[in-house]
Amino acid sequence: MTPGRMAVRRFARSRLSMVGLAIVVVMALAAVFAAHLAPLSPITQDYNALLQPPGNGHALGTDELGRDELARVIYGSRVSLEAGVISVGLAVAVGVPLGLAAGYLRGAFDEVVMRIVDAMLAFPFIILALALAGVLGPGFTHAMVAIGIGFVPGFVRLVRGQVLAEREKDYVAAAEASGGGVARILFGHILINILAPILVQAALSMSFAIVAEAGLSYLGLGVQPPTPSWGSMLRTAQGYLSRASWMAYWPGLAIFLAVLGFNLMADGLRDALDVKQQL
Amino acid sequence: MFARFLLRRVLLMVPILLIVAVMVFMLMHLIPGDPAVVILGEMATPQTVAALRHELGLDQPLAWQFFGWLGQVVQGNLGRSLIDGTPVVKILSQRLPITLELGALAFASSAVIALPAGIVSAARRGSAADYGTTILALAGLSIPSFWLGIMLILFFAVQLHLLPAGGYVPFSRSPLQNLVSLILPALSVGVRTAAVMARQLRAALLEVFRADFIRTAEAKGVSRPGILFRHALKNALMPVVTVAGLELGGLLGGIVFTEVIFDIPGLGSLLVQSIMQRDYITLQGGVLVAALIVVTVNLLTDIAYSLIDPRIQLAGERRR
Repeated sequence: MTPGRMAVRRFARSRLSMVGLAIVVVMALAAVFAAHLAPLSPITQDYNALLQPPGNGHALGTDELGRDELARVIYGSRVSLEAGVISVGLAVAVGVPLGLAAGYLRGAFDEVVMRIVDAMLAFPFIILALALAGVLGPGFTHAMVAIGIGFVPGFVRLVRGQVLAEREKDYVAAAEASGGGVARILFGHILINILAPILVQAALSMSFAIVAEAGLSYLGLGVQPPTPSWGSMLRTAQGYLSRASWMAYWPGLAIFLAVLGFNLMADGLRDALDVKQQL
Repeated sequence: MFARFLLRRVLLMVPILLIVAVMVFMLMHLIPGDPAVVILGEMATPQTVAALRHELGLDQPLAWQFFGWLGQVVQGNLGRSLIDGTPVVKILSQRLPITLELGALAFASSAVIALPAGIVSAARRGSAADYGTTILALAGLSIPSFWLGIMLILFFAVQLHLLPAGGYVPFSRSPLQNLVSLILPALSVGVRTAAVMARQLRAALLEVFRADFIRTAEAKGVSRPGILFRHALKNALMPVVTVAGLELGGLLGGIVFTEVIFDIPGLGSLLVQSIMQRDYITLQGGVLVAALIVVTVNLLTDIAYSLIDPRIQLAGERRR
Protein backbone atom coordinates (compact mmCIF):
# COMPACT_ATOMS: atom_id res chain seq x y z
CA MET A 1 0.00 0.00 0.00
CA THR A 2 1.32 3.47 -0.87
CA PRO A 3 2.14 5.89 1.99
CA GLY A 4 -0.63 8.18 0.73
CA ARG A 5 -3.27 5.46 0.94
CA MET A 6 -2.05 4.45 4.38
CA ALA A 7 -2.39 8.05 5.55
CA VAL A 8 -5.95 8.26 4.15
CA ARG A 9 -6.82 4.99 5.91
CA ARG A 10 -5.34 6.22 9.22
CA PHE A 11 -7.25 9.50 8.88
CA ALA A 12 -10.53 7.71 8.09
CA ARG A 13 -10.13 5.39 11.10
CA SER A 14 -10.01 8.32 13.53
CA ARG A 15 -13.55 9.30 14.53
CA LEU A 16 -12.57 12.77 15.71
CA SER A 17 -10.76 13.50 12.43
CA MET A 18 -13.84 12.45 10.48
CA VAL A 19 -16.03 14.68 12.68
CA GLY A 20 -13.65 17.55 11.89
CA LEU A 21 -13.75 16.77 8.18
CA ALA A 22 -17.56 16.58 8.25
CA ILE A 23 -17.80 20.01 9.93
CA VAL A 24 -15.42 21.53 7.38
CA VAL A 25 -17.28 19.93 4.45
CA VAL A 26 -20.65 21.19 5.75
CA MET A 27 -19.17 24.66 6.19
CA ALA A 28 -17.71 24.61 2.67
CA LEU A 29 -21.04 23.47 1.20
CA ALA A 30 -22.87 26.19 3.13
CA ALA A 31 -20.43 28.78 1.78
CA VAL A 32 -20.65 27.61 -1.84
CA PHE A 33 -24.42 27.03 -1.92
CA ALA A 34 -25.39 29.86 0.46
CA ALA A 35 -27.77 31.35 -2.12
CA HIS A 36 -29.68 28.03 -2.34
CA LEU A 37 -29.55 27.07 1.33
CA ALA A 38 -30.42 30.38 2.97
CA PRO A 39 -34.20 30.71 3.45
CA LEU A 40 -34.13 34.47 2.92
CA SER A 41 -31.76 37.20 1.82
CA PRO A 42 -29.19 37.98 4.55
CA ILE A 43 -29.51 41.74 4.02
CA THR A 44 -33.26 42.19 3.53
CA GLN A 45 -34.65 44.16 6.45
CA ASP A 46 -38.14 43.46 7.81
CA TYR A 47 -39.39 46.13 10.17
CA ASN A 48 -42.37 43.96 11.10
CA ALA A 49 -40.06 41.26 12.45
CA LEU A 50 -37.47 43.09 14.57
CA LEU A 51 -35.72 41.00 17.25
CA GLN A 52 -37.98 37.99 16.68
CA PRO A 53 -37.01 34.92 18.78
CA PRO A 54 -36.37 31.63 16.93
CA GLY A 55 -39.53 30.27 15.29
CA ASN A 56 -42.33 31.94 13.30
CA GLY A 57 -40.67 31.56 9.92
CA HIS A 58 -37.22 32.48 11.23
CA ALA A 59 -35.60 29.28 12.53
CA LEU A 60 -32.83 31.18 14.36
CA GLY A 61 -34.77 34.41 14.93
CA THR A 62 -34.08 37.87 13.53
CA ASP A 63 -31.73 40.74 14.39
CA GLU A 64 -32.38 44.38 15.27
CA LEU A 65 -33.20 45.19 11.65
CA GLY A 66 -35.45 42.17 11.14
CA ARG A 67 -32.84 40.28 9.08
CA ASP A 68 -33.00 36.49 9.17
CA GLU A 69 -30.26 35.13 11.49
CA LEU A 70 -30.08 31.73 9.75
CA ALA A 71 -29.47 33.38 6.38
CA ARG A 72 -26.81 35.61 7.89
CA VAL A 73 -25.06 32.70 9.61
CA ILE A 74 -25.05 30.71 6.35
CA TYR A 75 -23.69 33.64 4.32
CA GLY A 76 -21.22 34.37 7.13
CA SER A 77 -19.58 31.00 6.46
CA ARG A 78 -18.63 32.34 3.03
CA VAL A 79 -16.69 35.24 4.53
CA SER A 80 -14.99 33.02 7.12
CA LEU A 81 -13.93 30.38 4.63
CA GLU A 82 -12.72 32.96 2.11
CA ALA A 83 -10.79 34.65 4.91
CA GLY A 84 -9.11 31.38 5.84
CA VAL A 85 -8.28 30.31 2.29
CA ILE A 86 -6.97 33.71 1.17
CA SER A 87 -4.88 34.52 4.25
CA VAL A 88 -3.42 31.01 4.59
CA GLY A 89 -2.82 30.91 0.82
CA LEU A 90 -0.95 34.19 1.05
CA ALA A 91 1.15 32.93 3.99
CA VAL A 92 1.99 29.70 2.13
CA ALA A 93 2.86 31.56 -1.07
CA VAL A 94 5.28 33.85 0.79
CA GLY A 95 6.43 31.69 3.70
CA VAL A 96 7.15 28.39 1.95
CA PRO A 97 9.56 29.71 -0.74
CA LEU A 98 11.32 31.87 1.87
CA GLY A 99 11.69 28.92 4.25
CA LEU A 100 12.91 26.66 1.42
CA ALA A 101 15.52 29.18 0.31
CA ALA A 102 16.66 30.02 3.85
CA GLY A 103 17.08 26.37 4.82
CA TYR A 104 18.82 25.36 1.61
CA LEU A 105 21.04 28.38 0.91
CA ARG A 106 21.93 29.04 4.59
CA GLY A 107 24.53 31.80 5.10
CA ALA A 108 23.68 35.48 5.13
CA PHE A 109 20.30 35.02 3.44
CA ASP A 110 19.22 32.55 6.13
CA GLU A 111 20.49 34.85 8.90
CA VAL A 112 18.60 37.87 7.58
CA VAL A 113 15.37 35.96 6.96
CA MET A 114 15.42 34.26 10.36
CA ARG A 115 16.16 37.45 12.29
CA ILE A 116 13.18 39.10 10.56
CA VAL A 117 11.08 36.02 11.37
CA ASP A 118 12.18 36.16 15.04
CA ALA A 119 11.26 39.83 15.18
CA MET A 120 7.85 39.17 13.59
CA LEU A 121 7.22 36.40 16.11
CA ALA A 122 7.81 38.97 18.86
CA PHE A 123 4.47 40.54 17.92
CA PRO A 124 1.45 38.72 19.28
CA PHE A 125 -0.32 37.44 16.14
CA ILE A 126 -3.60 39.27 16.78
CA ILE A 127 -1.85 42.54 17.66
CA LEU A 128 0.23 42.38 14.46
CA ALA A 129 -2.91 41.70 12.40
CA LEU A 130 -4.80 44.41 14.27
CA ALA A 131 -2.06 47.02 13.77
CA LEU A 132 -1.71 46.19 10.06
CA ALA A 133 -5.47 46.21 9.49
CA GLY A 134 -5.61 49.46 11.47
CA VAL A 135 -3.08 51.32 9.35
CA LEU A 136 -4.22 49.82 6.03
CA GLY A 137 -7.83 50.75 6.82
CA PRO A 138 -10.99 48.70 7.41
CA GLY A 139 -12.05 46.17 4.78
CA PHE A 140 -12.01 42.50 3.90
CA THR A 141 -8.92 42.60 1.64
CA HIS A 142 -6.83 44.55 4.13
CA ALA A 143 -7.88 42.20 6.93
CA MET A 144 -6.86 39.17 4.83
CA VAL A 145 -3.47 40.70 4.02
CA ALA A 146 -2.95 41.54 7.70
CA ILE A 147 -3.84 38.02 8.87
CA GLY A 148 -1.80 36.40 6.08
CA ILE A 149 1.31 38.41 6.96
CA GLY A 150 0.85 37.33 10.58
CA PHE A 151 1.09 33.67 9.50
CA VAL A 152 4.21 34.05 7.31
CA PRO A 153 6.86 33.66 10.07
CA GLY A 154 5.29 30.41 11.27
CA PHE A 155 5.52 28.88 7.79
CA VAL A 156 9.07 30.16 7.19
CA ARG A 157 10.30 28.69 10.47
CA LEU A 158 8.54 25.36 9.91
CA VAL A 159 9.74 24.91 6.30
CA ARG A 160 13.31 26.00 7.08
CA GLY A 161 13.53 23.46 9.88
CA GLN A 162 12.30 20.71 7.58
CA VAL A 163 14.73 21.69 4.80
CA LEU A 164 17.69 21.63 7.20
CA ALA A 165 16.94 17.96 7.85
CA GLU A 166 16.17 17.08 4.22
CA ARG A 167 19.19 18.76 2.59
CA GLU A 168 21.52 16.20 4.19
CA LYS A 169 19.69 13.25 2.61
CA ASP A 170 20.97 11.22 -0.32
CA TYR A 171 18.22 12.16 -2.76
CA VAL A 172 19.22 15.84 -2.49
CA ALA A 173 22.89 14.99 -3.05
CA ALA A 174 21.84 12.90 -6.07
CA ALA A 175 19.78 15.78 -7.48
CA GLU A 176 22.72 18.17 -6.96
CA ALA A 177 25.13 15.72 -8.60
CA SER A 178 22.90 15.36 -11.63
CA GLY A 179 23.15 19.13 -12.13
CA GLY A 180 19.70 20.22 -11.00
CA GLY A 181 19.30 23.95 -10.44
CA VAL A 182 18.45 25.34 -6.99
CA ALA A 183 14.82 26.00 -7.92
CA ARG A 184 14.40 22.49 -9.28
CA ILE A 185 15.95 20.91 -6.18
CA LEU A 186 13.84 23.03 -3.84
CA PHE A 187 10.48 22.79 -5.58
CA GLY A 188 10.91 19.52 -7.50
CA HIS A 189 12.50 17.42 -4.78
CA ILE A 190 12.58 18.87 -1.25
CA LEU A 191 9.13 20.50 -1.24
CA ILE A 192 7.43 17.23 -2.19
CA ASN A 193 9.05 15.52 0.76
CA ILE A 194 7.99 18.13 3.31
CA LEU A 195 4.38 18.63 2.19
CA ALA A 196 2.92 16.78 5.18
CA PRO A 197 3.88 19.26 7.93
CA ILE A 198 2.98 22.18 5.65
CA LEU A 199 -0.48 20.67 5.17
CA VAL A 200 -0.95 20.25 8.93
CA GLN A 201 0.23 23.81 9.58
CA ALA A 202 -2.16 25.11 6.90
CA ALA A 203 -5.14 23.31 8.48
CA LEU A 204 -4.20 24.68 11.90
CA SER A 205 -3.74 28.18 10.48
CA MET A 206 -7.22 28.03 8.94
CA SER A 207 -8.73 27.84 12.42
CA PHE A 208 -6.63 30.82 13.60
CA ALA A 209 -7.58 32.76 10.46
CA ILE A 210 -11.29 32.22 11.08
CA VAL A 211 -10.96 33.51 14.66
CA ALA A 212 -8.78 36.43 13.53
CA GLU A 213 -11.21 37.47 10.77
CA ALA A 214 -14.14 37.24 13.17
CA GLY A 215 -12.16 39.23 15.73
CA LEU A 216 -11.23 41.98 13.27
CA SER A 217 -14.84 42.13 12.03
CA TYR A 218 -16.00 42.29 15.66
CA LEU A 219 -13.81 45.38 16.07
CA GLY A 220 -15.15 46.86 12.83
CA LEU A 221 -11.90 46.38 10.90
CA GLY A 222 -12.92 43.41 8.75
CA VAL A 223 -15.92 42.92 6.47
CA GLN A 224 -18.06 46.03 6.31
CA PRO A 225 -21.88 46.15 6.59
CA PRO A 226 -24.23 45.03 5.20
CA THR A 227 -22.18 41.91 4.24
CA PRO A 228 -22.84 39.38 7.02
CA SER A 229 -19.83 38.19 8.99
CA TRP A 230 -19.92 36.16 12.18
CA GLY A 231 -17.67 38.67 13.97
CA SER A 232 -19.74 41.74 13.12
CA MET A 233 -22.92 39.81 14.03
CA LEU A 234 -21.44 39.19 17.49
CA ARG A 235 -20.61 42.85 17.91
CA THR A 236 -24.20 43.83 17.17
CA ALA A 237 -25.51 41.04 19.40
CA GLN A 238 -23.60 42.36 22.41
CA GLY A 239 -25.84 45.41 22.46
CA TYR A 240 -29.00 43.27 22.66
CA LEU A 241 -27.97 40.62 25.21
CA SER A 242 -30.88 41.24 27.58
CA ARG A 243 -33.52 41.53 24.83
CA ALA A 244 -32.37 39.11 22.15
CA SER A 245 -29.75 36.71 23.51
CA TRP A 246 -30.15 34.36 20.52
CA MET A 247 -28.37 36.93 18.37
CA ALA A 248 -25.18 36.09 20.30
CA TYR A 249 -25.62 32.29 20.21
CA TRP A 250 -25.56 31.48 16.50
CA PRO A 251 -22.59 33.42 15.10
CA GLY A 252 -20.47 32.41 18.11
CA LEU A 253 -21.51 28.79 17.78
CA ALA A 254 -20.68 28.92 14.06
CA ILE A 255 -17.17 30.26 14.77
CA PHE A 256 -16.68 27.65 17.50
CA LEU A 257 -17.73 24.76 15.23
CA ALA A 258 -15.64 25.99 12.30
CA VAL A 259 -12.55 26.33 14.49
CA LEU A 260 -13.23 22.96 16.12
CA GLY A 261 -13.58 21.36 12.67
CA PHE A 262 -10.23 22.65 11.43
CA ASN A 263 -8.52 21.83 14.77
CA LEU A 264 -9.78 18.24 14.65
CA MET A 265 -8.78 17.94 11.00
CA ALA A 266 -5.30 19.27 11.75
CA ASP A 267 -4.93 16.81 14.64
CA GLY A 268 -6.08 13.97 12.38
CA LEU A 269 -3.73 14.99 9.56
CA ARG A 270 -0.82 15.20 12.00
CA ASP A 271 -1.45 11.65 13.18
CA ALA A 272 -2.25 10.25 9.73
CA LEU A 273 0.78 11.84 8.07
CA ASP A 274 2.97 10.97 11.05
CA VAL A 275 4.17 14.54 11.52
CA LYS A 276 6.27 14.41 14.67
CA GLN A 277 7.29 18.04 14.88
CA GLN A 278 5.38 20.13 17.29
CA LEU A 279 3.41 22.61 15.21
CA MET B 1 27.88 29.21 33.64
CA PHE B 2 24.37 30.57 34.26
CA ALA B 3 25.65 34.16 33.97
CA ARG B 4 27.23 33.38 30.58
CA PHE B 5 24.03 31.73 29.43
CA LEU B 6 22.04 34.78 30.54
CA LEU B 7 24.41 37.24 28.84
CA ARG B 8 24.35 35.30 25.57
CA ARG B 9 20.57 35.10 25.67
CA VAL B 10 20.22 38.86 26.36
CA LEU B 11 22.68 39.72 23.56
CA LEU B 12 20.63 37.62 21.16
CA MET B 13 17.72 39.95 21.85
CA VAL B 14 19.52 43.03 20.48
CA PRO B 15 19.15 42.34 16.72
CA ILE B 16 15.58 41.15 17.26
CA LEU B 17 14.68 44.32 19.14
CA LEU B 18 16.28 46.43 16.41
CA ILE B 19 14.20 44.75 13.70
CA VAL B 20 11.10 45.05 15.90
CA ALA B 21 11.83 48.79 16.12
CA VAL B 22 12.15 49.05 12.31
CA MET B 23 8.83 47.24 11.87
CA VAL B 24 7.00 49.41 14.39
CA PHE B 25 8.48 52.53 12.80
CA MET B 26 7.37 51.38 9.34
CA LEU B 27 3.77 51.00 10.55
CA MET B 28 3.22 54.71 9.98
CA HIS B 29 4.60 54.40 6.44
CA LEU B 30 2.23 51.56 5.55
CA ILE B 31 -0.70 53.98 5.71
CA PRO B 32 -1.98 54.24 2.14
CA GLY B 33 -1.34 57.78 0.90
CA ASP B 34 0.02 60.65 2.98
CA PRO B 35 -0.21 59.78 6.71
CA ALA B 36 -0.74 63.45 7.58
CA VAL B 37 -3.75 63.67 5.24
CA VAL B 38 -5.15 60.38 6.61
CA ILE B 39 -4.77 61.64 10.19
CA LEU B 40 -6.23 65.11 9.54
CA GLY B 41 -8.87 64.09 7.00
CA GLU B 42 -9.44 65.15 3.38
CA MET B 43 -10.77 68.59 4.40
CA ALA B 44 -7.48 69.69 6.01
CA THR B 45 -5.73 72.69 4.49
CA PRO B 46 -2.32 72.22 2.84
CA GLN B 47 -0.79 74.40 5.59
CA THR B 48 -2.14 72.16 8.39
CA VAL B 49 -0.99 69.04 6.52
CA ALA B 50 2.49 70.55 6.03
CA ALA B 51 2.64 71.51 9.71
CA LEU B 52 1.74 67.97 10.83
CA ARG B 53 4.19 66.46 8.34
CA HIS B 54 6.89 68.67 9.85
CA GLU B 55 5.81 67.81 13.42
CA LEU B 56 5.91 64.08 12.66
CA GLY B 57 9.19 64.45 10.80
CA LEU B 58 7.63 63.08 7.61
CA ASP B 59 9.35 65.80 5.54
CA GLN B 60 12.76 64.30 6.33
CA PRO B 61 14.56 61.36 4.64
CA LEU B 62 13.31 57.95 5.85
CA ALA B 63 16.60 56.83 7.47
CA TRP B 64 16.87 60.19 9.26
CA GLN B 65 13.30 59.81 10.51
CA PHE B 66 14.02 56.30 11.79
CA PHE B 67 17.19 57.12 13.70
CA GLY B 68 15.58 60.26 15.13
CA TRP B 69 12.59 58.19 16.29
CA LEU B 70 14.81 55.39 17.65
CA GLY B 71 16.93 57.90 19.58
CA GLN B 72 13.79 59.24 21.24
CA VAL B 73 12.46 55.73 21.96
CA VAL B 74 15.73 54.70 23.61
CA GLN B 75 15.39 57.75 25.87
CA GLY B 76 11.87 56.66 26.78
CA ASN B 77 10.06 59.16 24.58
CA LEU B 78 7.36 57.52 22.43
CA GLY B 79 5.92 60.81 21.21
CA ARG B 80 2.63 62.51 22.01
CA SER B 81 -0.91 61.39 21.32
CA LEU B 82 -2.32 63.01 18.18
CA ILE B 83 -5.66 63.43 19.95
CA ASP B 84 -4.81 65.45 23.06
CA GLY B 85 -1.02 65.78 23.09
CA THR B 86 -0.55 63.56 26.17
CA PRO B 87 2.84 61.82 26.17
CA VAL B 88 2.32 58.23 24.95
CA VAL B 89 4.56 56.95 27.76
CA LYS B 90 2.19 58.52 30.29
CA ILE B 91 -0.85 56.91 28.64
CA LEU B 92 0.92 53.54 28.54
CA SER B 93 2.00 53.82 32.17
CA GLN B 94 -1.68 54.15 33.10
CA ARG B 95 -2.93 51.41 30.78
CA LEU B 96 -0.21 48.77 30.99
CA PRO B 97 -0.55 47.83 34.69
CA ILE B 98 -4.23 47.03 34.09
CA THR B 99 -3.36 44.70 31.19
CA LEU B 100 -0.56 43.08 33.16
CA GLU B 101 -2.92 42.52 36.08
CA LEU B 102 -5.53 40.98 33.77
CA GLY B 103 -2.83 38.87 32.10
CA ALA B 104 -1.51 37.64 35.44
CA LEU B 105 -5.00 36.77 36.67
CA ALA B 106 -5.81 35.03 33.38
CA PHE B 107 -2.58 33.05 33.56
CA ALA B 108 -3.17 32.15 37.21
CA SER B 109 -6.71 30.96 36.41
CA SER B 110 -5.31 28.89 33.51
CA ALA B 111 -2.81 27.22 35.81
CA VAL B 112 -5.47 26.59 38.48
CA ILE B 113 -7.68 24.89 35.87
CA ALA B 114 -4.95 23.13 33.87
CA LEU B 115 -2.79 21.56 36.60
CA PRO B 116 -5.49 19.44 38.32
CA ALA B 117 -7.17 18.71 34.97
CA GLY B 118 -3.92 17.51 33.35
CA ILE B 119 -2.88 15.49 36.41
CA VAL B 120 -6.27 13.76 36.85
CA SER B 121 -6.49 13.10 33.12
CA ALA B 122 -3.06 11.45 32.98
CA ALA B 123 -3.29 9.61 36.31
CA ARG B 124 -6.68 8.13 35.39
CA ARG B 125 -6.05 7.54 31.71
CA GLY B 126 -9.07 6.12 29.86
CA SER B 127 -11.51 7.02 32.67
CA ALA B 128 -14.61 9.20 32.31
CA ALA B 129 -12.64 12.05 33.91
CA ASP B 130 -9.94 11.69 31.26
CA TYR B 131 -12.45 11.74 28.37
CA GLY B 132 -14.30 14.66 29.97
CA THR B 133 -11.08 16.66 30.36
CA THR B 134 -9.99 15.85 26.80
CA ILE B 135 -13.31 17.01 25.34
CA LEU B 136 -13.36 20.16 27.48
CA ALA B 137 -9.77 20.93 26.48
CA LEU B 138 -10.69 20.51 22.80
CA ALA B 139 -13.64 22.87 23.30
CA GLY B 140 -11.43 25.33 25.20
CA LEU B 141 -8.97 25.39 22.30
CA SER B 142 -11.71 26.13 19.78
CA ILE B 143 -13.84 28.68 21.60
CA PRO B 144 -12.96 32.26 20.63
CA SER B 145 -12.26 34.43 23.68
CA PHE B 146 -14.61 37.16 22.48
CA TRP B 147 -17.58 34.77 22.20
CA LEU B 148 -16.77 33.17 25.54
CA GLY B 149 -16.61 36.66 27.06
CA ILE B 150 -20.03 37.57 25.67
CA MET B 151 -21.52 34.26 26.88
CA LEU B 152 -20.05 34.81 30.37
CA ILE B 153 -21.60 38.30 30.46
CA LEU B 154 -24.95 36.88 29.31
CA PHE B 155 -24.96 34.13 31.95
CA PHE B 156 -23.29 35.68 35.01
CA ALA B 157 -24.20 39.35 34.55
CA VAL B 158 -27.41 39.60 32.49
CA GLN B 159 -29.21 36.46 33.72
CA LEU B 160 -27.81 35.71 37.20
CA HIS B 161 -26.73 39.26 38.17
CA LEU B 162 -23.77 37.74 40.02
CA LEU B 163 -20.88 39.62 38.42
CA PRO B 164 -20.53 42.94 36.60
CA ALA B 165 -20.99 42.96 32.80
CA GLY B 166 -17.98 45.21 32.37
CA GLY B 167 -15.97 48.11 33.70
CA TYR B 168 -12.85 48.22 35.81
CA VAL B 169 -12.37 49.14 39.46
CA PRO B 170 -8.77 50.11 40.33
CA PHE B 171 -7.07 48.04 43.03
CA SER B 172 -6.32 51.21 45.00
CA ARG B 173 -10.04 52.01 45.25
CA SER B 174 -11.25 48.56 46.31
CA PRO B 175 -9.14 45.40 46.13
CA LEU B 176 -12.23 43.20 46.34
CA GLN B 177 -14.19 45.07 43.65
CA ASN B 178 -11.04 45.07 41.54
CA LEU B 179 -10.88 41.29 41.70
CA VAL B 180 -14.63 40.95 41.07
CA SER B 181 -14.40 43.20 38.00
CA LEU B 182 -11.67 40.99 36.52
CA ILE B 183 -13.08 37.49 37.17
CA LEU B 184 -15.04 37.15 33.93
CA PRO B 185 -12.39 38.83 31.72
CA ALA B 186 -9.65 36.63 33.22
CA LEU B 187 -11.70 33.50 32.63
CA SER B 188 -12.54 34.41 29.04
CA VAL B 189 -8.86 34.98 28.21
CA GLY B 190 -7.49 32.13 30.31
CA VAL B 191 -9.62 29.22 29.09
CA ARG B 192 -7.62 28.71 25.89
CA THR B 193 -4.28 28.72 27.73
CA ALA B 194 -5.74 26.34 30.32
CA ALA B 195 -6.75 23.94 27.54
CA VAL B 196 -3.30 24.05 25.93
CA MET B 197 -1.52 23.56 29.26
CA ALA B 198 -3.82 20.70 30.37
CA ARG B 199 -3.27 18.83 27.07
CA GLN B 200 0.47 19.38 27.25
CA LEU B 201 0.68 18.30 30.89
CA ARG B 202 -1.36 15.14 30.22
CA ALA B 203 0.86 14.18 27.27
CA ALA B 204 4.08 14.96 29.19
CA LEU B 205 2.98 12.99 32.27
CA LEU B 206 2.02 9.96 30.18
CA GLU B 207 5.46 10.12 28.55
CA VAL B 208 7.22 10.36 31.93
CA PHE B 209 5.15 7.48 33.38
CA ARG B 210 6.83 5.21 30.80
CA ALA B 211 10.36 6.26 31.83
CA ASP B 212 12.73 3.82 33.56
CA PHE B 213 13.16 5.90 36.70
CA ILE B 214 9.40 5.73 37.34
CA ARG B 215 9.50 1.93 37.05
CA THR B 216 12.42 1.92 39.47
CA ALA B 217 10.46 4.07 41.93
CA GLU B 218 7.48 1.72 41.59
CA ALA B 219 9.74 -1.28 42.21
CA LYS B 220 11.08 0.41 45.33
CA GLY B 221 7.52 0.66 46.60
CA VAL B 222 6.99 4.43 46.31
CA SER B 223 3.27 5.21 46.57
CA ARG B 224 1.35 6.41 43.49
CA PRO B 225 0.91 9.97 44.81
CA GLY B 226 4.61 9.94 45.74
CA ILE B 227 5.58 8.92 42.20
CA LEU B 228 3.26 11.51 40.69
CA PHE B 229 4.17 14.52 42.81
CA ARG B 230 7.80 13.81 43.73
CA HIS B 231 9.08 12.28 40.50
CA ALA B 232 6.79 12.59 37.49
CA LEU B 233 5.40 16.10 37.85
CA LYS B 234 8.76 17.89 38.01
CA ASN B 235 9.92 16.19 34.82
CA ALA B 236 6.62 16.76 33.05
CA LEU B 237 6.50 20.47 33.88
CA MET B 238 9.29 21.47 31.51
CA PRO B 239 7.35 21.20 28.24
CA VAL B 240 4.39 22.80 30.02
CA VAL B 241 6.53 25.82 30.96
CA THR B 242 7.66 26.17 27.34
CA VAL B 243 4.14 25.96 25.99
CA ALA B 244 2.89 28.33 28.70
CA GLY B 245 5.56 30.85 27.67
CA LEU B 246 4.64 30.53 24.00
CA GLU B 247 0.97 30.90 24.88
CA LEU B 248 1.54 34.23 26.64
CA GLY B 249 1.77 35.98 23.27
CA GLY B 250 -1.60 34.49 22.34
CA LEU B 251 -2.93 35.47 25.74
CA LEU B 252 -1.93 39.08 25.06
CA GLY B 253 -3.80 38.89 21.73
CA GLY B 254 -6.90 37.53 23.45
CA ILE B 255 -6.73 40.35 25.98
CA VAL B 256 -7.27 42.90 23.18
CA PHE B 257 -10.78 41.56 22.50
CA THR B 258 -11.54 40.94 26.16
CA GLU B 259 -10.67 44.50 27.14
CA VAL B 260 -12.97 45.82 24.42
CA ILE B 261 -15.83 43.46 25.37
CA PHE B 262 -15.57 44.18 29.11
CA ASP B 263 -14.70 47.86 28.69
CA ILE B 264 -11.39 47.57 30.54
CA PRO B 265 -9.04 50.53 30.00
CA GLY B 266 -5.88 48.51 29.33
CA LEU B 267 -3.31 48.29 26.52
CA GLY B 268 -5.59 46.25 24.22
CA SER B 269 -8.47 48.69 24.30
CA LEU B 270 -5.94 51.52 23.87
CA LEU B 271 -4.68 49.91 20.63
CA VAL B 272 -8.22 49.57 19.27
CA GLN B 273 -9.12 53.10 20.38
CA SER B 274 -6.01 54.57 18.76
CA ILE B 275 -6.85 52.79 15.48
CA MET B 276 -10.40 54.14 15.56
CA GLN B 277 -9.14 57.66 16.33
CA ARG B 278 -6.28 57.40 13.81
CA ASP B 279 -3.85 58.15 16.63
CA TYR B 280 -0.97 56.34 14.95
CA ILE B 281 1.67 57.65 17.37
CA THR B 282 -0.11 56.01 20.30
CA LEU B 283 -0.65 52.88 18.18
CA GLN B 284 3.09 52.72 17.43
CA GLY B 285 3.93 53.04 21.13
CA GLY B 286 1.37 50.41 22.15
CA VAL B 287 2.51 47.88 19.54
CA LEU B 288 6.15 48.41 20.51
CA VAL B 289 5.37 47.78 24.17
CA ALA B 290 3.34 44.65 23.30
CA ALA B 291 6.32 43.28 21.36
CA LEU B 292 8.68 44.15 24.22
CA ILE B 293 6.45 42.21 26.62
CA VAL B 294 6.59 39.14 24.38
CA VAL B 295 10.38 39.37 23.95
CA THR B 296 10.80 39.72 27.73
CA VAL B 297 8.43 36.82 28.44
CA ASN B 298 10.34 34.65 25.94
CA LEU B 299 13.56 35.52 27.76
CA LEU B 300 12.02 34.69 31.14
CA THR B 301 10.67 31.40 29.71
CA ASP B 302 14.15 30.47 28.52
CA ILE B 303 15.58 31.31 31.94
CA ALA B 304 12.87 29.30 33.72
CA TYR B 305 13.52 26.46 31.28
CA SER B 306 17.25 26.49 31.99
CA LEU B 307 16.65 26.55 35.76
CA ILE B 308 14.32 23.55 35.55
CA ASP B 309 16.73 21.68 33.28
CA PRO B 310 20.41 22.82 33.54
CA ARG B 311 21.21 20.70 30.43
CA ILE B 312 19.79 23.60 28.38
CA GLN B 313 22.69 25.85 29.50
CA LEU B 314 25.19 23.09 28.72
CA ALA B 315 23.73 22.57 25.26
CA GLY B 316 24.10 26.28 24.62
CA GLU B 317 27.73 26.20 25.77
CA ARG B 318 28.53 23.19 23.55
CA ARG B 319 27.09 24.89 20.47
CA ARG B 320 29.43 27.82 20.89
